[in-house]
Amino acid sequence: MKDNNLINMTLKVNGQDVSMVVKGGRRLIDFLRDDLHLTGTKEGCGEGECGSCTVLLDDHSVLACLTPMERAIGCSVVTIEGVGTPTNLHPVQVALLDEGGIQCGMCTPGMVMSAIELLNNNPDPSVEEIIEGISGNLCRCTGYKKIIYGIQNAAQEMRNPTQSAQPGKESEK
Amino acid sequence: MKDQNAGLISNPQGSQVEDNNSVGKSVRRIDAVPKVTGRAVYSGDLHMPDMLVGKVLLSSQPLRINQSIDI
Repeated sequence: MKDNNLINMTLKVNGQDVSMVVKGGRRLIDFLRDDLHLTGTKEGCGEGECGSCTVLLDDHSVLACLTPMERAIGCSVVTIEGVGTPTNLHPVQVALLDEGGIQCGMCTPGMVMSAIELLNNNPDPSVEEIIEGISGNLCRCTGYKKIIYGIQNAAQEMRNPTQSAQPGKESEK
Repeated sequence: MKDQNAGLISNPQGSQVEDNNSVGKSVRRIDAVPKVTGRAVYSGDLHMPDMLVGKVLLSSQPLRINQSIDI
């Protein structure tokens, strides 16, 4: 490996300006996890099959394991860390919690990012459209039904917010 | 919708599930908030200075016996 392949990564990550000189020629997921220590983005398969590394690149979902890090220069990247905090959860996160759409949690960050992109583009998706929206995200635990119910509830909540929306009950561990 | 029976199931004694703490109720997983916010730390997320990393190298041949290893 050449060590002299340094590049200047200047971009926005979760709304914050980032500028650092790091080794280039790697994948976006390596930059996020190894350089920025944003380990919420998971590497499931590393070959674009599973969707657990899904992040938003200029509001479009991309697979961070297939995206060269240089592609993100000058762009805005949103990872799961930029979506919600334990005390201020995104409606998609609340809905997945309350529906039981989270088990081992490995697919969850990517699933949340795909669901957010879906609902940004289609605030009132049918079940078929939800299934298509998360078709790039594999989940081995839930059987998908609770995730689909959750996204339905999140869509409803985002169109007509209720007062009873619960922020995170548990504190960060 | 789901949970249409929540609060309606009665036991033979006539008390309702809403009297219970957990039975018949939808309970959030205790570790679900860290997971859904990406803050849960899995073993693959751990990083220590000068960390040693182990990898499994499996034989390319079935039912063979390794006689020597040269790394």
